[in-house]
Amino acid sequence: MRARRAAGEGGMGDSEELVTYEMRGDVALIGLNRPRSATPFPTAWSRRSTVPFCVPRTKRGPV
Amino acid sequence: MVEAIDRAVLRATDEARAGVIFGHGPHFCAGLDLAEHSEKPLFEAVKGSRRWHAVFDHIERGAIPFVAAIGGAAVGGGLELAAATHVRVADATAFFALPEGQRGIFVGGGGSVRVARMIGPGRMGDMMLTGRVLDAARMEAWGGVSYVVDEGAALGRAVEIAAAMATNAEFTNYAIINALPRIADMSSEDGLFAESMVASLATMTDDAKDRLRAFLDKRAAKVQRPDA
Repeated sequence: MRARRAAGEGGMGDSEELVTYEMRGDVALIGLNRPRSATPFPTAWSRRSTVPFCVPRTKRGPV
Repeated sequence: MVEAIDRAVLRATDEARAGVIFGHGPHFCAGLDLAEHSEKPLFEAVKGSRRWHAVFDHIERGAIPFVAAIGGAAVGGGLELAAATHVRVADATAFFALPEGQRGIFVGGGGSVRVARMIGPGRMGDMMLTGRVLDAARMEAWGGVSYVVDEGAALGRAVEIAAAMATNAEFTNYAIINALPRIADMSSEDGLFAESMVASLATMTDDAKDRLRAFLDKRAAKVQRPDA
């Protein structure tokens, strides 16, 4: 999975990437595809989400 | 991850006055993991799609406005997620696609309703039938994003916009995000009636009375020309 992700084609199947949450004043910032260095939200999370999202398998530009 | 999004959205609804959804790294969101989706039994797929609908509905018709800060891919379910937000900001790296047609599947995260209403069913059909990939400028021209900014500037601009929206009256924000899409679903006659009801309710709030009094007392900022 990590190798696939490093190659830009990883999926979200094992929930490596999750969501970050931060308050900035009155605004909540919800970040997708959490980097491993960031604090996840919430702290308790399941290893496998019901409906996973993924980072792109390809990096095609606009045509 | 959609469950994590839901928890974050519900928490934001409780403690914030506006929200921003963005992607860490170079991409916003590329949607569903097709490897898992292909193994899903029929009824599980239906329930999964309905769960997406419920979660995205918490964004679109919740209590606070959300801004999407989009860089890189907003593809498939990622575009459906962006379409559930109320304002979309894209940077110069953003690209948009609905490759479901080429994968032999169909949108399941509310895209047939939200994306179709955002850019029109004809253009959405074009994206799905041809696999066309749009850049930020094209998506802005099609009405799918409201702001296009330089590379890397989407999150900062989205936070500015959300902070400005957070200063609005809470009831007005609630009415904007809940009444407008419902009125769009109504006949003109019903929509106009509903508008009168919502407008009257908004005027009755203490917040509206305070803000109108501040304006009349010249304590509130006036609307300025955009180049001012």
